Amino acid sequence: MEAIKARGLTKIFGDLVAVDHIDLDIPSGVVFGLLGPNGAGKTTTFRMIYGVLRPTEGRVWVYGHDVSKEPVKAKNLIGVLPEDTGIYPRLTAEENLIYFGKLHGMPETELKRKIEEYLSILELEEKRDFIAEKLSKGQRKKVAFIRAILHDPPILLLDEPTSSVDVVSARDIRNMIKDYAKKGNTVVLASHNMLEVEQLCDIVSIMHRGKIIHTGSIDEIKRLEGVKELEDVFVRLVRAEVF
Amino acid sequence: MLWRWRGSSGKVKLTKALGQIGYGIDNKILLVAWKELTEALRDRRTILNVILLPMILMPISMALPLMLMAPGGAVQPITVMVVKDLPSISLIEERILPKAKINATVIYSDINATKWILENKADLVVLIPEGFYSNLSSSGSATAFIYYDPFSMKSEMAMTQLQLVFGELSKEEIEKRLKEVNLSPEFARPIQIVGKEVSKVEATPAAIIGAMILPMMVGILAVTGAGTFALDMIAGERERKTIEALLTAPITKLKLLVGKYVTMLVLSILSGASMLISFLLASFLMVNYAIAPSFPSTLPSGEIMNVSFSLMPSGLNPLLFLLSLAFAIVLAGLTGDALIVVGSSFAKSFKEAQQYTGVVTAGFIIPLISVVYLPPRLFWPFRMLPITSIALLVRDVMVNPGDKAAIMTSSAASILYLVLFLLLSAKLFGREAVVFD
Repeated sequence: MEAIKARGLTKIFGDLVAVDHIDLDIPSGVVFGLLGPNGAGKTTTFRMIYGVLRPTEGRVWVYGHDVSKEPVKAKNLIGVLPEDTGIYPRLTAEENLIYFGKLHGMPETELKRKIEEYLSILELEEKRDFIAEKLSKGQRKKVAFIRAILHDPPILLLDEPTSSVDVVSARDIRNMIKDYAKKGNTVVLASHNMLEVEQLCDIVSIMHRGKIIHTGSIDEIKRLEGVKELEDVFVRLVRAEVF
Repeated sequence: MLWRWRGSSGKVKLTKALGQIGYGIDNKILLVAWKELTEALRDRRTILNVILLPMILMPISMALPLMLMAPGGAVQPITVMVVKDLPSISLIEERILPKAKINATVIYSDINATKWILENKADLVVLIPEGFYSNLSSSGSATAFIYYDPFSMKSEMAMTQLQLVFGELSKEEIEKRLKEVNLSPEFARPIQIVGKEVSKVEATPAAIIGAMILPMMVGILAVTGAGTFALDMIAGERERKTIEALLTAPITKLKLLVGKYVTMLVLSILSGASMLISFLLASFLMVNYAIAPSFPSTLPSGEIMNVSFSLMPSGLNPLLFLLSLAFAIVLAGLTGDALIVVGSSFAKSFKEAQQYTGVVTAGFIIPLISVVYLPPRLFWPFRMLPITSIALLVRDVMVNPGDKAAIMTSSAASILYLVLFLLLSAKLFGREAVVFD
């Protein structure tokens, strides 16, 4: 069974067709990259998958659960890192994690253990009692990343996980993504960072103006587009957008 | 920059234990409430708007000025008695000053009274002209002049007290003169007016203040109670972009909203309790230290002045009164919060939400304020208006406890509006068009 399946997924905002009848088949246990220039429809697609936007047309299933009809079941299977971290500024790093862990129904002992473990891995132990607004951007992103994986979801949706993050924090987060995928989990990644995508993703889909124009392994896409670097495909799309 | 209970580094100290409670909460609604309360208590606006401000505002704004100016207070009226009539000295010192309960400086030389008042050397000047005593003792008419400033509260207070005392002296003199010619005191009182209080409860001074102020305060609580937090919990969440991550969690929007309402209710009750304590304190201070000392112990009629300090009208069951008040506070808090959630559901930022809700709540506050000036027979349509119905419910319980129909109408209308606004807020909360546009 696919981790995520979408058929005819469409989202229209007024006159704007943000996502235009896309189909997705994301197998279980892969790192899947959703690429595209700004405004391609990546974030809107993500939002429909994790159930905060209702599709205008089409459906999405998460391990067979229709996101529109069984949102709570689907959301239990997903961990999300949105583009804006969504960290509560007046809660501490630890309290942010407690809140989401408990919302996912984690028992106290397991939650405490996981928070200790992840804070230690991402070197945030000393910052656990700090109000989130006093943390650096990179530290907040790390906390948001822990929040996404805390309940051990089989699917992880990461929207620009390393954007606006310092080099060291970005590397820490990438290593965590790799480790998480190694455990057999599915990771879906939206990113502008082509090096990151090449480093992490098994399969990628390229979105352009709300449609998916290519899906395949990175090598397949490079071959199809006749380029050496994935970045060249991206640049070609962006230029087409400008001119 | 908001002030919060934390060290300068941002490390949480005082409220750390509150955060740790979250580990033990398994109910999702309570979990949302815990998170909202933790955030709210770290915001200085909570302490200031919900607890401290209502608690200190009323005693300071209402009771303190009166207390300071009352007899024995720190800023009593500066009263000067200019006695140009030496034979009147004993009369002034023995029969006027002790009863007037004012500290007056008695001087025997002539002064320009108008100038003294305009130059703030005195708040009030009493001039006892030559011949005052001889006119009085020879059955003539003695005239005293009181110079005062009608725009000064201190001057007005001193004037009221002196009028009462001189009135009493005048009455004693009439009775003495009538006795000399063998006439009864009634001879000089061809018409007597006797006021008969007609109210279903005993109208003590504190209860009268309470019936005037308390209903309006409970109504206003709908907007001032947890209003700031209701705005922050809905529009603030959107503005800080935390709503998206929250909506990815496996919890229904309804549970999220209910959790937020639990916190709003807690904050409204805190605010209501603070308001009530403030009101009781202000009433106690006003009655004991401003009203009572300002009046002579005996009235001109010879009646002993009886100042009751009870806020609650006698004849009311105290438990029933407190329960009704608590019910009204909960109703007002939740109704106001629901209105704010509805208004905030159209706004993308805290500021925008403030503007929307300001317009909405103003529409409900105007009848609440105007109803005070209407005669009770016109209350009926107002009992069916949102928020005003809650204020009238409090008033009816206080001064009209026997009117079951009025109390039932106000209660039913208040509950109906609350349910309506709660349903509307549930329908509008987390609207996609506002959250993700």
